[in-house]
Amino acid sequence: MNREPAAFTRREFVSGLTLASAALCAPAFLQRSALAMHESMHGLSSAPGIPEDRILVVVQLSGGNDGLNTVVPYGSAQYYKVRQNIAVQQREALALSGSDGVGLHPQMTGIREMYDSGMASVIQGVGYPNPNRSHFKSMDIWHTADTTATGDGWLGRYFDSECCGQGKGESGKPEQNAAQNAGQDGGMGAIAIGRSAPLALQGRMVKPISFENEQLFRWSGKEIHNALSDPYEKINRAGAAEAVDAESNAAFLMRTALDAQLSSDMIRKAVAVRPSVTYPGNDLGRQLMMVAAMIKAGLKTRVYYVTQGGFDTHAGQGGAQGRHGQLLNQFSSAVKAFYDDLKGQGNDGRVLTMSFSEFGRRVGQNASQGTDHGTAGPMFLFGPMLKPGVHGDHPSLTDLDDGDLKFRIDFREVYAGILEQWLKADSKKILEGSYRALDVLKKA
Amino acid sequence: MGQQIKSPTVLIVGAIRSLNAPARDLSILNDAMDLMGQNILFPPSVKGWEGGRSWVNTSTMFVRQNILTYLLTGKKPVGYDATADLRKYDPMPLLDELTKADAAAAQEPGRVIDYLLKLCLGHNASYARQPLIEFVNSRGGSLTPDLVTGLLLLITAMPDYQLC
Repeated sequence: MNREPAAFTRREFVSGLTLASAALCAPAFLQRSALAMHESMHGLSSAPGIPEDRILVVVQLSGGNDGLNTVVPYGSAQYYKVRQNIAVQQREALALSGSDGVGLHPQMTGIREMYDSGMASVIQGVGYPNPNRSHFKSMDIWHTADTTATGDGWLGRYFDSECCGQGKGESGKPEQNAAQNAGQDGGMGAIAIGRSAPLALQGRMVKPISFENEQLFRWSGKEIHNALSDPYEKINRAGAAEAVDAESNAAFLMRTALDAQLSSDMIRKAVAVRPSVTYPGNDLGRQLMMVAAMIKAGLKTRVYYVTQGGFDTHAGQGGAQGRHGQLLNQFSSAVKAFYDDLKGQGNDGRVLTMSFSEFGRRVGQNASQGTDHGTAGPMFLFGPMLKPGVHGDHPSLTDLDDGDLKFRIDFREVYAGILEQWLKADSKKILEGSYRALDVLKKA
Repeated sequence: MGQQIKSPTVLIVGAIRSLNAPARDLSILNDAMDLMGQNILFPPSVKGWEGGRSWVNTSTMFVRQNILTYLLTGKKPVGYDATADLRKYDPMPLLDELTKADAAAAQEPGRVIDYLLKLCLGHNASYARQPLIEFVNSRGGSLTPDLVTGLLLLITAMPDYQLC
């Protein structure tokens, strides 16, 4: 596909771009693209069959979550044999109905409650061929959906693909002028809570927004003296002046400055609203609380990204109690509060959440009562639209690959399922390969 | 001149050199470089950084503006300890060239603003002139060092300041 973005007909504009807000794709001649976005914020009406208001939230568990102590294979004698000090006992595990001998870690009561009400599903043994044990490399592989860990992020490619129909990985070359004509100029890409936007969200045309907290997403000069506010606003909200060539870097910067002000207004206004449920006091809870507030405010963003760290449990990880359990408790309670909040808003049906970690851990414990870097692990999906239950069988604990679990489901099958079924996007194009789309959604 | 987008290095080093700003805490500058997409000595690939427009988006725009606030005032970005770096920046030597030619010029807001715009941006950004003059007048019109620093904060937060 090699069409000229500026030459879109209205029909193409409306039909081809349903997955992203029109503003996200506004060509450069619409110089005040963010203004258009602002005005369209209230119109979330979706035409039949066009899921334009669907949202994906990604929860990254950084450090390599120990899958075997998250979804516990209590039916396996081998599990207890190789994890003498850190195993979760059968009587402690929260059995998952409909599954065969697996249960959640006892700290995950929130997720178990969601599972029981059809709001959570587990995908067993997710990984990829020739697993890499480096945190960085394996994380990049998950982010790029490419086992060489090169190229743009998979969600960045989703934005590019839906928006502008171009932007291939490392080898690809975006169409001439595409960047000027597309989201980089003013659309709202994915929103990541964190110091910087993750690779997964980095595309060619559409750039993600990231901020650790909303206080960072504004000009600090206003706090030096409030008399600076007024002239700053006048200058930075001017947009591109008529006299400036619309394709020039100067105009691009003026538009970006205006977009930054408008995004900042919207986000800070959104997160100032207090939630109606109580979130746990942990960092993931804080992040998801902000995401729920932004969803409530109707921000035209389809993808949010949050991160929980600390899963690199090489030593003293504990069993039913202990450090790993605390992490799972934070994860579980934050996700539960998030969906309680969304349900209260009436938005739970619009939001699918996916969690992943860069790898699972070794089957056996190490000499420090912890676990070392391993391979496949479980993924969780959350939301009322899901096909509930446990997808796939637990990987064998005896048929191993050099002491590691053999993966059963390629993570790109999960991505493909989400892209095809939830975001209604072309997974072949975005993943740059053909993967079986895992059935993640309930049959309509 | 005025066509290329500054890399984070050019932005920070350029500000320190051309505005005579104190370099302050290098670890804070280094963090800001990373947030702006240029973790120095760690390019994303052997090719280096993509550069150009990829430097700037709505998030990095604020980082770019706020690191200038830090350099000029010592106010640390959110997330660091709240104590400001108290080394005071003196903007007045910047006006030397202007006053050498005409000592009275340093008291005329319009001339000082035009001079600073030219110095920082390389051109007289007409759209910014009026708001800047109103700012000076609203503060009594007297060009004290603090007021000149205020002008520099506003000018370095302008979209054009990202160009070189």
